[in-house]
Amino acid sequence: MKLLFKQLYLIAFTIALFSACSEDDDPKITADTSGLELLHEQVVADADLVIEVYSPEAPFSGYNELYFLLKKASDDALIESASLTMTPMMAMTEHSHSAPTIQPAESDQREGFRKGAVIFTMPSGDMGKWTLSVKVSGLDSGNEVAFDFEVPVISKEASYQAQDTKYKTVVRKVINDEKYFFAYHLPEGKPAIGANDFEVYAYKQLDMMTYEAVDGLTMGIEPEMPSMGHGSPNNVDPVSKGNGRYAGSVNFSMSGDWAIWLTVEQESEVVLTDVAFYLEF
Amino acid sequence: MAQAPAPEQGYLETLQLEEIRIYVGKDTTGEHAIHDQQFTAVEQVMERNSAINLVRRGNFAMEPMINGMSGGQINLTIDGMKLFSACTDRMDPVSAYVETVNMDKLEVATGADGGRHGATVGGSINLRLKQPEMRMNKSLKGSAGVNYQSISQGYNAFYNLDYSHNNLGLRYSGVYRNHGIYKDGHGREVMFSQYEKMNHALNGQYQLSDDRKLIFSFIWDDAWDIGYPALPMDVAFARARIYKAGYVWSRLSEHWKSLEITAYGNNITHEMDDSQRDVVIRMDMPGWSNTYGLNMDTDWKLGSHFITARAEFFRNDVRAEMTMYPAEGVSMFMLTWPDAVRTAGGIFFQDRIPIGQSVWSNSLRMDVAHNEIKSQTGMAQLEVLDYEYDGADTRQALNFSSTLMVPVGQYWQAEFTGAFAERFPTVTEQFGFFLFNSQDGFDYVGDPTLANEKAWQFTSGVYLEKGAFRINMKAFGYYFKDYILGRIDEDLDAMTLGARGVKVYENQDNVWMAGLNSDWSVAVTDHISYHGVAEYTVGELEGGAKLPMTVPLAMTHTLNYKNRNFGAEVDYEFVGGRNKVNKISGETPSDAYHIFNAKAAYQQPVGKYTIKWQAGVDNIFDVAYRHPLDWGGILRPGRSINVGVSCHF
Repeated sequence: MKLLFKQLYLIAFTIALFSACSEDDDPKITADTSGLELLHEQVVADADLVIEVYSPEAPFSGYNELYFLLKKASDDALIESASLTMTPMMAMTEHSHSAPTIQPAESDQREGFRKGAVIFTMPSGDMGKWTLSVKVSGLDSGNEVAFDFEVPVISKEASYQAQDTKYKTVVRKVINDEKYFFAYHLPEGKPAIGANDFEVYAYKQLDMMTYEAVDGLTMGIEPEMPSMGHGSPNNVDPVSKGNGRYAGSVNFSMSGDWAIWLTVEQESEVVLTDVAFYLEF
Repeated sequence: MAQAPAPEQGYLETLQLEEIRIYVGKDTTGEHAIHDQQFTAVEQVMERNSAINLVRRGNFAMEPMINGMSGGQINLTIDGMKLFSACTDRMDPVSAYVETVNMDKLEVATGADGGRHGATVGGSINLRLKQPEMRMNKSLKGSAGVNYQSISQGYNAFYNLDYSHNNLGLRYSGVYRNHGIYKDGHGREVMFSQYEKMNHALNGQYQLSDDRKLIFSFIWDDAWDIGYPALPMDVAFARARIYKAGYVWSRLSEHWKSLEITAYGNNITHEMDDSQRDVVIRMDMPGWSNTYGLNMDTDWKLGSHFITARAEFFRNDVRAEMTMYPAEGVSMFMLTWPDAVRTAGGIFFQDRIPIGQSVWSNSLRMDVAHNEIKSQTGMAQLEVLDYEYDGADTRQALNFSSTLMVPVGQYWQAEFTGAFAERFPTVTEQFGFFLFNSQDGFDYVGDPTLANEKAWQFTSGVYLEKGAFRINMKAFGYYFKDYILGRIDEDLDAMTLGARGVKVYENQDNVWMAGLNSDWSVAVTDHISYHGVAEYTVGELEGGAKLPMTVPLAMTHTLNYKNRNFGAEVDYEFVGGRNKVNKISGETPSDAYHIFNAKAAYQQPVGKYTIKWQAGVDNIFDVAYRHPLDWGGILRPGRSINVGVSCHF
């Protein structure tokens, strides 16, 4: 009797173990898309591939996180092995150009996603439209897939009630005959009352298609509520972290309209001032 | 008889020194004061006490102070129940939620003597509610009255109905007040000084046996459209629901004299807004305060010791918000009180020992309080200020007081008190977030790590009663450690438009204050009596700056005539000028003033009813004046004629 129980127990244990293993092996992770907007869905039937592109909010001129999800068309299983590159493109009648881009890589925050970013340097409009070209390679099938789609990029400035030409979401500035771009990013997501991690990205344009991250600048920030005329204490100026990223912290003592005044120094010389990143929440 | 008082009587007499009781109007006509007190607000009754002053921000809900201390420094309770204001700008002191028609007496104790009702440095005012009478002969009695005041074209109406049957007693009372804007002594209208309010109260008791009874009270108080001329905002409405139920035993044993257990709760909502004002940005500032508690009171007589003890427990939740609506652009929001919860318990012991003709009284109070911020937004706001605070703190407070009362000669009694007092910081002082103070023009920010305020207190007094003459005089000196006061922080930006800067609450040592309270009365003849009250306080902060909110010499003299059905009274009020002010706290110099008031009443029996006619003139000489403690340089009402009638049965 005792032996029989022991055997039964072993069998049960083995089944449990195997079923656990088989679940682990199942690549069918349900990707959490909460808080994301679907920008585009590309079905490539002959490559058994679906590519979904998400962003946390409607793309705007400035720093935009982009999330990619690669799935098998047949069973929705996530594909993890492939590599993915993207190229934003502003198609204009005269001089078409690209934008500063951080290529997608496995996301730390969202399991199963690849996360990249594009700093759209201007909104879509009559002048031209933004498209995003995406290339997928390294698929098990050996196929290479390429597609592009249009990204409508809005101008947040246009929706602000506090109209001031100094309020920006992306700053363009010619410094020493080179075209620089600065954009802000809140890595924790949406702005909230309290201390917010605050990042500034700095890039310069080498040619119409090439942008280079700029490190080693000295930045200063000063938040202000334009409608009230006051700021907030204990902010941390962003410092260079490499790859064009500058990390600091900004304090919002209340919700409402906030302008974060930005000063940039290059080799102890002020190269940018009297301009603010603006946001409302 | 008076020359050789029985020990028990001597003991009771000395009690008067420790706690001053002001009896508010009696229901029965015969015992009435000249006027029906029901017409006046609770604060106005309080003000007659020599230790109490009012901070006036409007014509409504004036904030009581004891010897220059207010807010978290004093206890303001109703029947021993804890209530906490829901307004961040102190527009709703607890006394605004009860009415004289529902009040039996004020129990005032100064300094650490107020420890019965909570850890305190300033003292306590307990508003004792009226209990229904238990009558054998008359099951129903009541009264109703209305009066008119010319200065604010306002009227006050009250009524009460007492029902008594077998073991049940019920008392229902109500008040309605409606006042327009008043005119000051220059004949100028003081804009935003109007108010309207209604209060209903039901008190009951049920006698279970000779020595046991159940008691309950419910108060329903609504006020609306209240203007505050001294502030940039008014109040759309203030609402309080106050309720309690208790069980009272008396004569439990030979030694155990009484035991009372009360459970209570109150819910206060206060909606501040500036919709009536001419402002750049519209603003709403609602606040909520909910308190639930349990009190246990007991009295013992062990040998020669009279022991009074209380154990209490309560929880108070407060939240206050500010939302601004610019004409253009997004609205702005912040939490001015961040869902702060205080859970606290305390025990109080008082032992009074007669030693010969003297009485030695010792009291001890111990409190533990746990404060917690429940809101994430509130915590995030504190982050902005860079405080190292993990969202909760637990603190203790100790109050100790020892008093010796000694008879000196035949008529005099002397009193000496030494005390150590300690109180907790208030929600505003700990967690307040950019609260604008229109008196000094600064935004105030709390500090969660503040230490408790402490004071060493010495009081001595004399009391004389000889025939028709009675005088009570008290001198006190307080020395503070960790006194809580706002200090200017240059690094912080004010949030309020037009504010001068930001003050952060901090602890200061070496703060002292001293003062004198006195009242006296003489029965000149059987019909004429004279009563006087005087007070004086002075104090300094470290470095010699004047302590804010101290009162210069103030005196009131009252001459009273009473004869069967007719009564008359003349009041003379003097408050000294103040040149030395604390500028940084927004005080401005004020002039001395002399005010005269007069009133008369005639009562006329009509069958089983008594009709009482009354008329009076306040500020007879139409003086344009303001009390040094009044905010914003706003003048008090000019000459006002009042007429009223009431019916009692």
